[in-house]
Amino acid sequence: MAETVVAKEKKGGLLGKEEMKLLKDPLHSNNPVTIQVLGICSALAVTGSVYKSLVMSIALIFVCALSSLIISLLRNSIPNAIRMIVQLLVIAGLVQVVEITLGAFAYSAYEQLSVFIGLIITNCIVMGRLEAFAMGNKPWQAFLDGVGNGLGYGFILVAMAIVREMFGKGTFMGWQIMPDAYVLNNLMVLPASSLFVIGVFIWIQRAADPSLVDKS
Amino acid sequence: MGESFNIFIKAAFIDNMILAYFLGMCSYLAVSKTVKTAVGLGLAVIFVLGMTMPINWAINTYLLADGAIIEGVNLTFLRLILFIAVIASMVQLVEMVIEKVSPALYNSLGIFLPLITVNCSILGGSLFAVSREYAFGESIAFGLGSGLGWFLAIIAIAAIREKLRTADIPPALRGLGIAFILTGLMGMAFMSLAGLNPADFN
Amino acid sequence: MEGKSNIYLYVLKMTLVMAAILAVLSNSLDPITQQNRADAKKKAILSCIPDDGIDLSNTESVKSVYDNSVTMFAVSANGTVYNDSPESLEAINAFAIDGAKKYKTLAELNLANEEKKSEKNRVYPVYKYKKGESYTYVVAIRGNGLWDKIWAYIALESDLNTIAGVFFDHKGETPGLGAEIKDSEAFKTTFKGKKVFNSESAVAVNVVKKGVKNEDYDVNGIAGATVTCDGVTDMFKSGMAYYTAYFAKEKNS
Repeated sequence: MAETVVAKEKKGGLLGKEEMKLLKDPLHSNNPVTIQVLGICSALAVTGSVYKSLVMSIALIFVCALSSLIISLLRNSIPNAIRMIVQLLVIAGLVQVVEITLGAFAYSAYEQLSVFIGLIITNCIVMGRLEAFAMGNKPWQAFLDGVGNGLGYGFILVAMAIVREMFGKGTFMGWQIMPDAYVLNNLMVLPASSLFVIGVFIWIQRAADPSLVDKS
Repeated sequence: MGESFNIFIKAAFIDNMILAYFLGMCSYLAVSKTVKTAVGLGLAVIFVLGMTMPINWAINTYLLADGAIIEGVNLTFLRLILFIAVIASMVQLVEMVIEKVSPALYNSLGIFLPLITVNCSILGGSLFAVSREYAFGESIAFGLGSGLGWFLAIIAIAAIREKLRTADIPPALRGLGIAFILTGLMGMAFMSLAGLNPADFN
Repeated sequence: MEGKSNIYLYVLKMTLVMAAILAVLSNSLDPITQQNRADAKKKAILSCIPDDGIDLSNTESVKSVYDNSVTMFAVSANGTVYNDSPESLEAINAFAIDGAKKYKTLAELNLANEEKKSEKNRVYPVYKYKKGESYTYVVAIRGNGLWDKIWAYIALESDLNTIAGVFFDHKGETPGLGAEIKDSEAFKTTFKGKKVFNSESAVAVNVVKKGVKNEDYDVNGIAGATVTCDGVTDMFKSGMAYYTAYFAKEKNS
């Protein structure tokens, strides 16, 4: 009885243990932003409001998951010499799709994010996962890895945005949640504050889990 | 000519790619452990920015814009792909040059040289030049200025981090955490330059 | 190396597939984006008008209010009025030299493009809002903030002097400081009731730093955003000057 149980888990299936690991690890122990140090640029620039962070996260999950899927499907036919170029082409195409779609269906987000949508192409998370995982794994696993890392990124982004918007503007998604007597903390509205917030997040994360501390 | 110079100064100090817009963070954090590698990468970035900016400007104006090739044909949906292709080729070129000229630097930079392709500041610079509708000369000035700004920022943080190696920092903050907080402080310091209009000194 | 042609072929195939997908998507969705842009502009114009009856919460009502109550035309600095007709459009487009774009409809008129023309060739938009028997006039002005361009829609009462409402926007002012000209409702409300021109017909609206001295013309500035606020004052001075000939004409008619 025990043998069949173990064998079933090893096979994986759609959402077996290995697959769930792909979705869960990037949320904490292998977080793309705080541990792998990828995707920092946009994490700092768009976290002024929760709305912008949400749209950015959804866009990134879309690009990361689909590009991982496509590259994994193509992985055996890509000539090695142009590996990076093919990856970039796929990513650039997907990001352009996102930009066109946002312009039509979420114009307000499109206006606010402007240049940063295009910059998803250079978001190290997408490229990093393609090289590190999608090139050497099966499509479904690669897709899940893309989703997982996108979620890890989104988690940090939205958390930062909640802090910055709450203390800086007193609102959440535009609705006021701080009492009228609260004096708005203007530092939180300035872009430099996201660096302080992320520094503190890293501090908290590593203090809570000492295995993540930088030993160098 | 005067306008281009103003844009150069603004891009280097006031509109600093890293400290004002936070573009190019990944390699900035990874390569700033020693000043030597920081200098090497910084120079490569100046070159790539200075070269790709005018090329991408030309592509955007003469190929992609509304009615550029044929009246009524708008190819802006190809912009991102073409821009990144130009950047990838330019980085390939820089790699070959550095490998010939200074193999030691080539080795110490390692993976980060090809990673300039995905350095947000390079693509970001080209996209800014398009959205701000710079002229040709202005885009070159903007490219060189942004590169210089990036170079200065990475050297500054590398110098600070070298000194920090002997400082007593809480374990959970060591490495990445303190680097972020430092950059934040530098960013705030640079904000004091806002409002400086180089044109006023002409 | 036989691999080389293989490589080029691969990249070519990929690029063609992607370009095809993007072309299809772009052609079908771009018109919607253009429409969104136009709707955002209409909403901005209507937001200056102090009419509680206007519902700006959804695009349908914005469009219906705009189409029913707003007439748009363009004026030049010497007072010539261009209405929304093909002849007028042709006349305006005749000025499109030095890299300025031509317009397909009058609604496309935008100041960023006009600034490429020399001053005497520029035209400026006026949006006339009618409610019952009274009119509110919305004009557009453009200037320089701290980092980049700023622009505004200013709604004037029928005396063409008292401000009824304002809408500010900017390319890249500092969030929390200069950007407050767009985000702060309080800042925008203080413009209501102020007069643009003084008794000598000079632009007197002034965003001040230390405190309001003249109730008719002064508006309290935003703390920490002096350069942006000075930019707003200058924008009024230069922008409103283009409309004085038209205002004089309209007042006498």
